[in-house]
Amino acid sequence: MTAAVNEALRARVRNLEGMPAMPAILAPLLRCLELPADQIEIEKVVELISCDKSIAAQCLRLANSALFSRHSKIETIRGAVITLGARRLRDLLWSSFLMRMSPEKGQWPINPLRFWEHSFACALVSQQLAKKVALPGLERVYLCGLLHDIGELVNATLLPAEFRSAAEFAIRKSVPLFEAEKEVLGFTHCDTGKMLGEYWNLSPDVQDVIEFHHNPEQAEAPGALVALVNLSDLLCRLRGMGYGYDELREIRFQEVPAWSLLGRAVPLLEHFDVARFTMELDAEAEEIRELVAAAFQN
Amino acid sequence: MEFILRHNVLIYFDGESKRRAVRRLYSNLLPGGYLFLGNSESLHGVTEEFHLVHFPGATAYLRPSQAPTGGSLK
Repeated sequence: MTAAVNEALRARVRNLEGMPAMPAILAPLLRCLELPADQIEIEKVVELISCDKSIAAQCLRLANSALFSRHSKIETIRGAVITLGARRLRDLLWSSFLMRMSPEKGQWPINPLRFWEHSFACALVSQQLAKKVALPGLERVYLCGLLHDIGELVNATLLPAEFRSAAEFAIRKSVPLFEAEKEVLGFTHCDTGKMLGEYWNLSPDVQDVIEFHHNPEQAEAPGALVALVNLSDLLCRLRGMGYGYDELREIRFQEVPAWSLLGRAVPLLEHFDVARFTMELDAEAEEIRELVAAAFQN
Repeated sequence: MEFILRHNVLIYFDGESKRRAVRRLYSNLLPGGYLFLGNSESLHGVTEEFHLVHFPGATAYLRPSQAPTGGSLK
């Protein structure tokens, strides 16, 4: 990216208008849910959720979805909170906040549902992979996976025409979006995402993941986290949780640079059964679709 | 052979029979050939001679074109 393009981009990202403020209840609610399970105050969670009609409706809808086969309908927020549990509730809150910043449906060259499915899938896969290979700091891992492609949102919002040609190029040639962006725009969602990350004051390790998730070997402090999200992203795209088109690739995970980067941080990786993990992911796909659909309808 | 499809057969075998069967599949494949297994089958812990390969929506085991390091030229 040339300095001039960089400057021009920065100016446009700084002027990001229409970025909704975080809903008032979100921060306190997330803090409640971060506590260990036995310390979570359900009444407080219920009270906070009751303050936001839209979030309350989403909780009820997800609790009554096909995900939980129930005989009777859940009609109270309390019932919904108990059915969903802290983890699903947190996922739902993040999704409903992030989706409020989605551009108008018609503006997207890619299906926004697919974008969010991919983001949540990557968050979940990152978290599970981290758990399997015993990488510490799980909470952070989830957020990194969720926000890794946030630059696509910037591109789709600020540069809709250019982004559309990049996406069409990617679909036509069956290549990953970032390669198409490089070709068509001269920069990628990693660059714009990094700017948004700075603008939002995200923590440096989350910013690193956003900037380097497509080339983890270039990160200044080669982080296990960046490598982990790179692998999870790849796995999601290969298992039908990508952007709704297939990239023509043949991947051998053991030969991907991120694999050896991650291996240096977690010795367990050597004994990790990638085939088995891949099969387990297919079972998760349905749950992710339900979650995104419930959050997106509102 | 260039590829072999063998879904849900190996699951009935114990460790040793599995290794023997997979060894045969390996030698009947051409270098660069693929072995496709069922949806819940993995060669993890059975053999390391194959390379696991991911395609969009599918996984396969590849017999590498070159023998693993130390392979003889018989």
